[in-house]
Parts: sequence; structure tokens; C-alpha cells
Amino acid sequence: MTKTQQLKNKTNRELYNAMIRRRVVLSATLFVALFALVILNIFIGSSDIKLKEIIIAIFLQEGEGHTVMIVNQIRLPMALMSVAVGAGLGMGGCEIQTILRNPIASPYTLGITNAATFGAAMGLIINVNVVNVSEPLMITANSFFFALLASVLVYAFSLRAEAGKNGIILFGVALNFLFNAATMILQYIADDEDLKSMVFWNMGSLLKTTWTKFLIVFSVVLICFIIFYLNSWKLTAMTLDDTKARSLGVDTQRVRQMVILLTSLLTSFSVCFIGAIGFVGIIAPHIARQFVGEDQRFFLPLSAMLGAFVVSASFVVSKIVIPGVILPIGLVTAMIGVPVFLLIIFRKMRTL
Amino acid sequence: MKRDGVKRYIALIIALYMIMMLFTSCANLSTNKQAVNNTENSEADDLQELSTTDYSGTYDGSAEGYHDNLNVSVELDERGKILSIVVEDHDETKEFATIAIERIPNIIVESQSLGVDVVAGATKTCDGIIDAVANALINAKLDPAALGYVAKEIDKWKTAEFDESTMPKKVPTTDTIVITDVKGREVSIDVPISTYALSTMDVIDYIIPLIGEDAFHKLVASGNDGGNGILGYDKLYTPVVGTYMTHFGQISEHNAPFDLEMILARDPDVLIVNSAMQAHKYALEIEPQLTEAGIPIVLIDVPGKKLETSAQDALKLLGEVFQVEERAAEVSAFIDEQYALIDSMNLDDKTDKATVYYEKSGTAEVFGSTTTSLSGWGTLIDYAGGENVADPILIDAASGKGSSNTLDPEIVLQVDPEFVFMSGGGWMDNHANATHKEPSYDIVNRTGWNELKAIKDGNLYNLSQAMNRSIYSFFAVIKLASWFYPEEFENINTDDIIDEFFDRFMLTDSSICVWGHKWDGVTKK
Repeated sequence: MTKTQQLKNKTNRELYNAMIRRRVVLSATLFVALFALVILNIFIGSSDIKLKEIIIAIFLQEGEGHTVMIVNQIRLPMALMSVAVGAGLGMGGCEIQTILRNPIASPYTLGITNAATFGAAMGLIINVNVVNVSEPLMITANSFFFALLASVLVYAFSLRAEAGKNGIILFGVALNFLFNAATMILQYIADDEDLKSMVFWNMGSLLKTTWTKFLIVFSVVLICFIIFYLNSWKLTAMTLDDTKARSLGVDTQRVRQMVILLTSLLTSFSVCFIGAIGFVGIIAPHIARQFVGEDQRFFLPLSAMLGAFVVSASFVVSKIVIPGVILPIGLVTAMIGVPVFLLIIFRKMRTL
Repeated sequence: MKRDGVKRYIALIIALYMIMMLFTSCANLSTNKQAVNNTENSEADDLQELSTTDYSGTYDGSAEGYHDNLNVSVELDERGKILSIVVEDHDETKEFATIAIERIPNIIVESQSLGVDVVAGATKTCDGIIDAVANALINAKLDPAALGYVAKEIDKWKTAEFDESTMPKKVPTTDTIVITDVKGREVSIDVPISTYALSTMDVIDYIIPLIGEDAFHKLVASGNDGGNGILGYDKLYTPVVGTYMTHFGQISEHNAPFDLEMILARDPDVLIVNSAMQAHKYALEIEPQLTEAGIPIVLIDVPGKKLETSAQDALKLLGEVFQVEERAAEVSAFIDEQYALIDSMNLDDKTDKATVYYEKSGTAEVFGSTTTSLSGWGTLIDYAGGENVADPILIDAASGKGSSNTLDPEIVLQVDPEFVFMSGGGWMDNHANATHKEPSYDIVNRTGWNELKAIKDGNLYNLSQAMNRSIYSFFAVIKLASWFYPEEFENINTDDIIDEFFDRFMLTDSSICVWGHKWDGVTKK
């Protein structure tokens, strides 16, 4: 090895280390910011509870009136749920964009949200109880059932040998239209109040969160994250085209099927408990990509964190816009998300 | 470089905008000055004639500015002419307010008028100065209206802020009752009830007849209704019953899930939930948490399946909850009487029934939806003996109970109904926050509609959307029937009925119940 080569290697190594260090610092900063948002979410609420009382309620389980219940059973799970759902959608969006190599793909591209909406509409409008659960659980159960149904359909389609990435997108679009049309038929026969509930359901709301729901979503998000992370090398290779990825030893078809299955699950769980939260699944990966590029070891966790960050921040905003009223979270995510998204597009256009 | 360009562009827009603002405000000031100058002399003469007392002296006045109160001292001569105005120390924002504080007093003195226009960007400061001067004139026993002062009709209503110390005191409970609510749930409630919460604000109309002012004094939380009822009732009833918003919390938006946290924070003894706006579903979703907190849920249903009994059923349930069963029976008896009155006319058996077309908030261009006799206003029209032209086509269809049925206008033209009703559009409501603006009746501009019998006879009405599900819906039925069959009502003064109801059971008079408006027959393009 010549001296120049050695020198070059050393600088490359240093460059690489510096790059990695920068990414680690970035991730850590975001994590701290996210943590701060969670704390903020616990402190903000419709009733005035003082900081001291909140801390006492959390750590000592003591407080006047219903303070303990408000803090521990309402604010805490809601704050954590916004993180879990955001992370799930961010992660889902990141992987879907990766395997389909399509910048406008999101967990909703596969048609799962519209399927869930249709399930909810069946419950809200014609009182159909698909899986026969108690009435309060009916809408959640219905929407989960149909979300899962759509997931199975997409997955089954992806198993077909000829299903390429475009095929999957088109199949998702078709599913979207199918369930959308079915929902519209239900809306046609619905009376005013059912119609409004339907609209509201579509906007998404964290108010229904309980610890059980949070733990379910959290475990799904955690499991998916671990699986994705263990496969991060393969997923990074998927950003190349299929032929190159295959030449690196990646079974592209299998990876694609796995991602579709996991993302469907992620989306189904978050949508059936919270409703449709728009845009997070698209923008989180885009922002993450700007920061760290396509290296899945960083791209995946950062997408998840950014998703969580956007939903948590939106949740804070949704609580302070009208004091005493919690706006539907879906309204806020899109209102915050769209300008950010546009900014990114314009910046990208300039670099192209 | 490019970014600099963008910045410069934005700066240019802002600069242009500000220049425009300045121009408009200056233009406002100068034109007004002229106008006022013309009247100056005559007004001064008026004052001279009127005044026999000596007004000379310096008077203080104050009014609300942008940040805080604005204080002025006004110097008057013996005839009451304004000699000078000094604005005392103030907290107004410097860059916006300075121009107002410098110029407005001068203009007032020059023009001897309070009818000056305001400086753009400092509206509140300008209005504050004008109000303060008017206040000083009043202190000098002069009438500011003579100087063209018009008290601002801006909505100064301020909802009282929450104050923990005003929460109703909880009376120790002495007994536990078990009641069966409208869904057949057995609910046990500790009585007497000291505080309660409502799913939708307008349900309070069912509670006022039972417990009067206590309906507000015991109310600690409610969801909003479609007409922003929380504010509407606040404006209407706070002057009647006193401040109650200091112990009130909003627990949901219109047609939205409940804010569980707020319910727990206000801790009502019972949560009364109406079926409207899916509230039953939302309430049952949070039932486990409420049970844990010891807050029982009582489900009621107005308007229920049967128009003529649903109000009474709700009253009976609420009577049990508030332990005023006798009173509830009294109110129910009154409503029973009214439906009995309609029943006694056997309107259903008439051979030449009045034909009716109903449409929700339509205009010439927008074809609104209709309803059959099975839902909404259709139910009331049916009970009043109207023959709904939508029934033959829609009543057996899957969407018969739905709300998005738009009838082919051909059918309306063919059937040629004797009455046309419209509702909604937000123009009219049966509580105090309503605008009561005259409806446009643009619907008559539809092709061929001028030829309809209903339009020719002027039988076109606009109805309040909320009325069909209020506690007064019995009155709407009576009114509709009296329009359809005036001969049956020859000896009945229908307005006496609603007056009596308000007199006996409500806290205000019946003027708050504005719910129907008849077209004046003039076609407006």
C-alpha cells in the first residue's frame, strides 16, 4: 500500500466517522426534543392542573379529586399514543417508500385507511357489527377487520410472481377507490348526524386512547421496528433497482412481501384506534432522508422519530388552538405537514 | 443569490402592503374630516340652543383601549364645545397607537364630532379614545350622540372565566335510586344531585322546565350543539339567572367524542347524554373510566322514535334523576294536551290533504336534500297532516331515512305542492345566539318554480333546523297544522299556546323561540 493510498483511506475513514457522529448527534437531539414534547403533552390539558400536582400524581399516585386519574389514565396514555402512532406511520412510510421506490407512497397508498374508514362507516351508519363485539368496541373492531382484510388482499397480491412495485401501487389505488366508493354509498343513505360522525372519525382523534390501546399499538410498533432494523442492510440495498439488489444477494420479492405485511399491520392498528392521521407517513421519511440519506440504520429510526415528533407537536397545537377544546389531530397534522412538505419539495427542486 | 431574491421580493410585498395601509388610513381621516367640518357649524348652533347650563371645565373619561383602559381629560367651554383633549399615560403599543393618539384628539377638536373614522391598524385605540371622550361628555352631562357618537355595537359579551371557588357545593347524598334509561340500562345514582353535565347544550331546555334556574346553577359541564349553543345560552341566560359560566366546562365540540379529562375535572354527579350527534356511542366508549370515577351516565333520546311522546319520555327520566317527578308530569301533561288537540282534528283522515315539499337549505343553483315522513322535519309535517310529496318515491327506498335524498325537481313541478318548506342554512335558530337574518328564498328563481301553486299562493316558509328536535316541537306541529288547515284553527289562538308554555315552564318569554319565517312574495334575483 502506497503512502497516498493510506492517507486517502484514513481521510475516508475520518470522513465516514464524522458523518456517522453527525447522524448520531442529530438522532440524539431529536430524541431529546421528542421527550420534551411528551412532557409538554402531559402538562397541557383542558383542566388546570399545576406542575407540582402532576408530578405528585405520576410518581406518588396521589392528588385531589380526579387529578390522579386525569394525569395517569388520560394525559399519559394520550401523550405516549401520539408518539407510538407517529412512529408507526413514519416507519411505515419510510419502508413503503423504500420498497416501492416511490416518493409519494405512504402507508395509505396500499388502501388500508380507506378500508378502515369503510369498516367504521358500516358501524356508524348501518350499525353492522362485523366481528360481534360489544357496541362501544364495534367501530374500532369493524375498522380493524376491514383494514386487516385490505392488508391480506395486498399481501396476497404481492405474493404473485408478476407483482412488481408498480403493480402493488396500482392494486393499492384500486383498493382505495373500491372502499371509497363503498363508503360513499353508505354516506348516501346516512342521516345527518351519522354523516357528521363519519367526517369526524376520518379526522382522527387521540381522545379515545386507553392504556390497553396504547400497549397494543406500542408492541406492534416495537416488534416491527426490531424486524425492520434487523433487515436494515437488505432494505438499504432495496433502494437500488431490483436487479442490483438481487445481485447483492437480496431476495427482493421476499423483502417486499415482508414490508407490505408489517406496514399493513402498523397502519391497521394506528388507524383503527386513532382514525386517519394524514400526511405523517409521507413527510416523516422525506425529512429524514434530507438529514441522513437512505442508510436504513439511521433512516428508519429517524423517520420513526420524526413521525412521532410531528404527531406529538400537532397534538400540542391541537390542544392550545382553542382552549378547552381538543381539535381532531388529523386536521392539525395536515395543516402543519403540508407547508413543511412544500418547503422540502422546493428545496429539492433547486438542488435538481 | 436566489434566496436573496426571494427575501427582497417578500420585503417588497410587505412594504407595498404597508404603504397601502397608510394611504387608506390617511384617506379615511381626510374625507371624514371634510364631512364633519360641513356639519360643524350647525351642530355648534344646536348645542348653543339646547344648553342653558354652563359646561366649562375639564372632565375625565375612560374607556377600554387595546391593552388597558385609556384615560382622557376633555376641556369644555361654557357651551359645551370641546376645547382640548389630552390622552393620559397609556399602555398602548407604541408604533401602532402613536398616530392614533396624536391625531384622533385633534380631529375631534377640529370637527367637534365623535363620528371620525379610525386609523387602520390601531382601531381599538381609536375607538378607545372616542369612547373615552364620549364618557367624559357624559360626565359633563352632555349627550355624546349629539356629536355623532355611535356606541359600538360590537359584541362585547365576555364569557366569565372558570373559577374553582364558585363550583356548586356538593350536598351530602341521602339515598341511591336506580333508574332505567332509554336504552334499558339500569343506572344507580346517589341523590340528591348537586351537579350535572350534559352531552349537548340544547338539552338544557328539557331541564329548565323541571328545576328552573337550578338548571344553570347545577350545570358544571356540557358539550356544544350545532348552533354554538354554549355561547348562545350564556348570552341569553346569564342576565336572567346570574353568572354560571364560572363553574362550567366544555366537554365536547359539536358531534365529537367527549373530553374525558374535562368531565373528570368538573366531576358532575351525573352525565346526561342525548342520542343526538352519536353522543350515546361516545359516552359508552368512556363509560369504564367514568364508572371508576363514580360518574353515572343516563341516556335519553330526544327527538326519539315517536314524535308525540319522546319529549315526555325524556322529561319523565329527567324528573326521576332530579327527583321532581311531579313537575315532570305537569310539563308532560301540557305537551300531551297539545298533541291531543292535533289528534282531535283527525287531520290524517282528511281527503284533500295539503301537499308539501320540504328541502334542506336549497337555493336556485343548489338542490338541497329532502326528507320523507320518517325523519327530521318530515315527521312534524306528517303529524300536522301534510302529505309529503317525497313519500311515494322514497319512503320504501333504502335511503328513506337518510338525509342526502335530492328529489328530481321534475317531480316537484309535476305534483305541484301547495306548500314548500325549507330549513337550515344557519340563518335562524330557536335560541338567543341566532342571527335571525331574513332568508333569501332564492329557491323561487328555479326554472318553472314561479308556476308552482305554493309559490303563487305565497306558501313558502323557511324553518329553523333545530326546532324540529327541541322541546317546543309540539308548537311547530300546531303551527304547521294551522297553516295547512286554517279552518280547524278558527277559534284557537296558537300563539297563546307557546306563550303559556313559556310562562309556566321557562325562564324567559316566548320571544326567544324564533323558528319560522314566511316568504313575503317578492322575488329577488
